[in-house]
Amino acid sequence: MRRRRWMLLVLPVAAGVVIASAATHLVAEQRFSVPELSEDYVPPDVPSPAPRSRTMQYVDVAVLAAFLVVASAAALRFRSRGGLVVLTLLALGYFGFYRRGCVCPIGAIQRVCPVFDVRALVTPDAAAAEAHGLSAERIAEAWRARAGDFAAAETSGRGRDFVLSLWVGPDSKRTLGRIGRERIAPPGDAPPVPLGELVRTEMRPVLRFAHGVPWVIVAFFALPLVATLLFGRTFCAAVCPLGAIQEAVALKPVQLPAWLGHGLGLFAYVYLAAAVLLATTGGGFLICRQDPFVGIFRLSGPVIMLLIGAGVLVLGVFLARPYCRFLCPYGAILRPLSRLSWRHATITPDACIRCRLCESACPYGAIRAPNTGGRPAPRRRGKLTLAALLLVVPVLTAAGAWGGAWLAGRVARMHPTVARAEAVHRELAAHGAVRGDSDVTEAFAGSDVPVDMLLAHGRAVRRSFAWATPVASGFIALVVALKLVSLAVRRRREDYAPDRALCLSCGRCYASCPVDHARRLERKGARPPAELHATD
Amino acid sequence: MTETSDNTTNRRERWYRAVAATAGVAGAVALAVSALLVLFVLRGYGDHPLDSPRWAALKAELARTPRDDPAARAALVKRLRTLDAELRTAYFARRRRLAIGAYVVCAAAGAALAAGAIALRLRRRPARVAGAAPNRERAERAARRGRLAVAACGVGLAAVGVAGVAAIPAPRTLSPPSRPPVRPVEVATVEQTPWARFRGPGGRGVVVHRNVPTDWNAPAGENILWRSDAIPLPGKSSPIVWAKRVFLTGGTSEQREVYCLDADTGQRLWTRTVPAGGRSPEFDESMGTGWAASTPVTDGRYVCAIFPTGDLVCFDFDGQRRWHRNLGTPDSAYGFATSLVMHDGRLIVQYDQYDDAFDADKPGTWRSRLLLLDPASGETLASVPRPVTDSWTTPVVAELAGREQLITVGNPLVIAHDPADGRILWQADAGGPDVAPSPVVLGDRVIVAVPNAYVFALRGAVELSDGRQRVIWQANEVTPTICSPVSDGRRVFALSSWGTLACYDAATGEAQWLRDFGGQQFNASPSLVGETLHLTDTQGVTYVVSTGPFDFDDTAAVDANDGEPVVGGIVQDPTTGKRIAAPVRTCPLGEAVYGSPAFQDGRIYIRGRTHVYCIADAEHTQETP
Repeated sequence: MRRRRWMLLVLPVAAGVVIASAATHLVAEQRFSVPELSEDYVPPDVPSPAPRSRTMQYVDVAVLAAFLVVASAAALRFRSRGGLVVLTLLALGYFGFYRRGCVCPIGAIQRVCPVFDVRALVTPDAAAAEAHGLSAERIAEAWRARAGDFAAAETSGRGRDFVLSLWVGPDSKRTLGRIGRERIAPPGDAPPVPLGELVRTEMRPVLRFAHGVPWVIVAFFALPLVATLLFGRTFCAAVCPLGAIQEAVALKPVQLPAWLGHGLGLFAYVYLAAAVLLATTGGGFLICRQDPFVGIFRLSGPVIMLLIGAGVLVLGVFLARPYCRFLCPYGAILRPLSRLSWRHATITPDACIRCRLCESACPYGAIRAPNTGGRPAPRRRGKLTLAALLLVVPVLTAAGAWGGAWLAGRVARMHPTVARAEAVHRELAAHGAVRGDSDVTEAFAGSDVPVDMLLAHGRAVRRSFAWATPVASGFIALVVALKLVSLAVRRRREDYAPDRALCLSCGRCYASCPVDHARRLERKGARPPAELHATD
Repeated sequence: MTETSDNTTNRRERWYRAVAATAGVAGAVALAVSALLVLFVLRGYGDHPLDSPRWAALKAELARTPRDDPAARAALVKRLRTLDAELRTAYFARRRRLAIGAYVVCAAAGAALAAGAIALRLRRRPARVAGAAPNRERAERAARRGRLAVAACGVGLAAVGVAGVAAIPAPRTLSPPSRPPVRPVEVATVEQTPWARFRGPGGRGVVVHRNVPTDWNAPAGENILWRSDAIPLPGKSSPIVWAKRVFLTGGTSEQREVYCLDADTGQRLWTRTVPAGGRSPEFDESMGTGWAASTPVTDGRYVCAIFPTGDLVCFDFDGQRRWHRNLGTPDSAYGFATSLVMHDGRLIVQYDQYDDAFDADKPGTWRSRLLLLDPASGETLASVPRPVTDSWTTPVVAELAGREQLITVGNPLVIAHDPADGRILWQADAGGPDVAPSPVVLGDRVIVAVPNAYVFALRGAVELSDGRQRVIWQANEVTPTICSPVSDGRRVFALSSWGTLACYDAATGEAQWLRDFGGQQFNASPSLVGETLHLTDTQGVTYVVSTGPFDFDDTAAVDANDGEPVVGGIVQDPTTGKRIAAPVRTCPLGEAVYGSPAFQDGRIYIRGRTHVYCIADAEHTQETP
């Protein structure tokens, strides 16, 4: 016994010494001055990170699919909270720290958006070129020669690596189409081939989704959606690295009042709308830029990003998965899909005994209580409320869209191109030239983009915002209205059941369920208490 | 039983304390290291190495060091390189330390979390059920509260959203072009007729001024108004002049530049680097035309220049870049060298290039283009495919057979375009490979020189309905390879690159006389000044010679050179073989010349290999302040 006590003292001290000694390494290195360099110093090669190999892309998608299958089985078939926890930690390791949080389905939302930009990318289709006996180099040159037909062109690479980035005006589709119909003659007597057949054109306003998105991105975006339609949000349970890191820190979660959860849950839709708005207008990837955890996965990043990530994790100790519940735009997509899921995790494997233990076990407020018994509310009042809210849906949506249209011009200023165009325009109006007074205009003055093209691009982006902003704001208003309607619909519930939209299939409720406990005892050969089979 | 239970409780409690203490220690380490990392970062630990004040100071010192002190500059560059390596090494060492710190934080936080989770588990209490049992009423109340919360959040979101967005200043119009319009630099008198393009007004190479110098000697400083400082980058293009500005281009494979010089003093007013938009072309450097062979063009508002990389750039007279485009790198055996033309508010680019698969009968293989652009914006007004491959000629616009035509010479065709929309008006099989001399328009005919083939005179009528052939005459006594022909209306003068000058009758193509310059190499095109021709060879020597006519039977003319043999001093009648001596004035520049001179009132501007010279008569030199 004495020996054990001694060990109990040693444990924290040893842990402290080991970790602190590693920390002192930092301070120790800080004391040394920078190394002196000899004259024959050869600067090290600084390679740019290589893209993920094709094989590893297949591996990533296969791992994702395997995690989804195992998570669904653990949540629905084996009802194993322990299994889900282990899977969560593995997902954190693989998708989080090993894959550094990228690709993730949350960010993939932006990549699969059709992007309404005014740029076309042309690259030779090596297979088509070879089929016609033409070299990719030759096709590249043929397109380069036609670069003069566009407002501006940037070329890079040669042969198969050739990319012609064409900045096109309103007439872009017609110009591309006309050049695409022009023919190029293969050597010999073979008939000329239309130039358009020999290239892959990523014309952002039209074909972004079909041609510009790697299949891995599509797979990462779609697989969790399919899994959710089949088995509920098992992706959130144990596959998503962002969920996993929050799950790992949720040590002492408190329960929020249900009404507050309903209100805060709207923010995820606002975030989704804003991210899609920016992605479709080519304004950047908001979700990736504001990802609170990617800096932690990469052990590097802007200080503010790391501090926000740490802050969210500290909050997550007491408020389980705050990002997943109130901000995650992918969660906003999964919520309605999960409602429609073919199968879903259940609290109890058998009849509910209404012990209410699961209610306190769920930190997400995702368990709906029975609403039978007690004095019934007047039916007429309920119907009137519902009818009024149904009328509100189109009115609110229209009002939201109108508000978006009203503010579209200002919202467009979030777009870097519009912001740059306005800064340049301001200097032009004031001084008649781009003097480079600000960082933005200085950078522009040093670039080779003509002013008129920048302004034209700015106007084109603004036109995209003119219709995309009302759509985004109308969508947010529609979500608010539908949420109000859903809270006015009375559904009879006899037992405790998970709210399919909010339930993350984390499995905490299994452990608290006496019926589940009894079944486990039965499986182990022990006799469960008889009263557990009774219902109230 | 009770004792066992107590023992278990005590054991759990002891374990709890140990694990909780572990969690505390690990958490404290995580916090401490995090704080340390934040402190390091705030102290500039992660700053970019080249933001260092030492680096900036050294760069500023380098900028201050004069270029003509190469030793000091080399020493500074060496120090800069050493400092650069030092800063980078230090930067990556700091990054490494930050990464170690991050690992420590992760490990400590992970340990704290794991220990915390175990500790909580050790103290887990049985779940309690709080509050009254649920029923319909409570569900109704909860739904009502939910609706209120959603409504409140919706209103809050709308209010914050509207207020936030409305606080953003109203957007600007972004209407084009809001810049003040560029006013043309006035050219009021005939004396100030600008030399605004390759070979001057109309691309004819004919000088309207009669008072240009006819004698100078740059090494001796005779009749030299000024010599510019060295032009930073070489170029075979010619200077152009508008009012008081001289413009020229220079380039290397790394960089291309446009220069503006004060026409009165030769002082460089501005130098502008051209953005590199395309890949570098490939051509034989030894045979090539270099990286700045195309002569710029101006209309008094804008100065436009093009380079073999396909970069087309436009500046105003103050050196403000108005626009830049990359037209795609042209495939040209000797490098793109066609000069730009402006006509009637349009910038004209003859963008001819080579294609392995070129077939004049298959439009899909035509890569050459005639581009009409708006010089104010660079916008394409027309782009017309041309059934030709690479060429080095410069087009001319002229009134020809009753209408304005843009005459281009390519391989294998001479093509006339409508200068308004670029459409092809007529074409003739009178071009050829490696064609560089530009065409000359003469009344209703076009004179075209095809290297090593013929000098052609073509009918310029758009329709030749009466079945007449396009070719009026062809001659091959002398066929220029680089220099463009020049005409006084009655005669056509053609100079070969190896120094043989021929005078053809413009009506019949009959060679009237030949004159040999002893194998001197000529790249500059001849210029016609009154009754004299200015021929500048690649050594920089300009020969000022009479255009004749020569009376081969007049023995007095034989003695014009006092019997001394002079380069180019012998004129020969090709029909009779008679030879007479004729005067030649030889004017050396002292450095190599590849471009054609630009002429102004009383002045000649010649670009040497490294300097630009302004030549003016002594009388004129004194008048000019």
